[in-house]
Amino acid sequence: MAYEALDSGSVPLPSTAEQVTRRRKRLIPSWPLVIGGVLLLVIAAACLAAPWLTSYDPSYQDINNPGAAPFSAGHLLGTDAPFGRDMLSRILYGGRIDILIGLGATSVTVIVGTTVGLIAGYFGGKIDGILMRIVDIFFAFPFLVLVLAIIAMLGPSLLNMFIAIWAVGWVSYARIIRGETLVVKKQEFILAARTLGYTHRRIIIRHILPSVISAALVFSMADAVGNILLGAALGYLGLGVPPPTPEWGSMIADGQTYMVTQWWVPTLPGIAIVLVGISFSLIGDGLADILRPQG
Amino acid sequence: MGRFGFVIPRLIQLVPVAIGITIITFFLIHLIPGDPVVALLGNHYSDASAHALRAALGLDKPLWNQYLIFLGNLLHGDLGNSIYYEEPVRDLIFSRIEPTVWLVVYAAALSAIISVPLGMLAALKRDSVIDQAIRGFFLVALAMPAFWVGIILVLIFSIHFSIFPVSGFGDTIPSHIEDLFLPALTIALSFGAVLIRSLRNSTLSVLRADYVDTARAKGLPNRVILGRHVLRNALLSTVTIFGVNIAFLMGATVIVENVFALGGIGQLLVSAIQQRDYAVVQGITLLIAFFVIVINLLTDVAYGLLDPRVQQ
Repeated sequence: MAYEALDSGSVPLPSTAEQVTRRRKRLIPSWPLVIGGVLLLVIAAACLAAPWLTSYDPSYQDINNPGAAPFSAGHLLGTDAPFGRDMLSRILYGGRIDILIGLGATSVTVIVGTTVGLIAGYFGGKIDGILMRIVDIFFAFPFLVLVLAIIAMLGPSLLNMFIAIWAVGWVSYARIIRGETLVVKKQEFILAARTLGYTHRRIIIRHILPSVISAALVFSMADAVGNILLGAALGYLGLGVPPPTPEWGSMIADGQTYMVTQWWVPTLPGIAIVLVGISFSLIGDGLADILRPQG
Repeated sequence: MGRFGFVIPRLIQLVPVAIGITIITFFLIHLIPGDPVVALLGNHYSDASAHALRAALGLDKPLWNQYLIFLGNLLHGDLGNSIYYEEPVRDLIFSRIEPTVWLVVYAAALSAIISVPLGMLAALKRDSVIDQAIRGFFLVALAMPAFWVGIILVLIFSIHFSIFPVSGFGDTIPSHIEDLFLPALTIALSFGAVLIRSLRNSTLSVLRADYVDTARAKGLPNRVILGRHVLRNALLSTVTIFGVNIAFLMGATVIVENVFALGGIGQLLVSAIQQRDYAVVQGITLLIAFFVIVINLLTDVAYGLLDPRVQQ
């Protein structure tokens, strides 16, 4: 018993695949993952199904009922002031843009950043030095400030928002993946692959990438939350999609002047943002639980 | 040299990053579609002023030459001129920087006050109800947009309870402290969430450390162990975590300044964007980036001074 514990070298460690399978055999692999996943699916589905869930057009101004309270005048969540646009439909249609930002901006940055991180970590030396120096320089700028500056130059629009986030957001992944790659690079199966004469490309894609991808995936959830908040902030500052397209951030800005009398106008979009953010965070926690090596 | 021996290499490491910052900021202007001179002059465009600006910026020269001119101006403290306010960017920034500095320091202090005890508590009572509650609260806090939190706080504390003002910076020091409380609290709630997570992790690793076991074996009361070892290490980690996340703090400051109309450089940045005042945007971006790397350097130095192991 104690003797066996000392001889740890002979105990085969389960591979990552086995660990994940063993975890999955439990009925609920991870509560945060399930809750977060379901929440996100429900919200996304609601936003996609907006035309069927609400009969109002988000730009339609019900001039007889400006600033109506929730559950009144036939508007489930009330209307905004001063235009009288239906809050429920504006929130559902607006969600499309914010969720799109969360998914679209993040997916590109994951790919670009992971690629850079793999190259820097695997090849090391001068390439690593230069790439990581560039990453350090980007990290000196607050994310928001650099995105603001890029949008300032290119002009505010949804596409430019994506471009700005893509240009800046990849650096976090580069750093994380490079760190992971450095660790994985030293393992024996990599040495074996090199000895077998596999090309660098094959080793990176087939052998290193699967081991480091989990770190990127977990972080991508937190990053998605950050991007959604960033998109909403840009909308709040008036630098996002132009009106009258609804977007949660700009809705909060529009409603700020009316917060005293019609508190639901700026509050409800914020709650929507928080719910989406929580769902992404829960998914991230769940992924971290599942992908964490056991034992 | 002694304890400061490690500062010199760090300073030298800073130089390429500083140069890189100037390069990126320089290139920002060249992102503008169309003729940068037309954009930079805006409504003040005239053939004469365009010609003068082109010569001053060296826009007819090759790109690297333009960069050197930009860098040269920078080293003389010249950040260009604001077309909207018609004064040098440097003066403009200087006149607006006070609220921002106040807010950053205030928010940092509040964040530390909130997160150090809560982070340590979460680690000490690991997996208990308190721990879950703290982590749950901050899971939600991190999903809340800063500008929205600010509005909600104003709704509750300024309008409903009338304790704090809705906006503005105030004229005297006591009014600064009062007016800035809600903005600082807004930032502290999200920044604090980031700090708590890291603090909890580092406190957990301290609690697992050998010397804590030794202290317990020696029969030291928990209070002493906490105070002497755990707290010290937690504070040490706070310094580092702080430095790493200072960029996040600056970003939140920019947003919150706009929510509360504080008149600092965050608000200046946004209005400059709306007014197409490119030189101001460039100058503020540069300044904030430099501030971040300086703070990183200072926290590294502070860590080196506080942690006796670093001198070896």
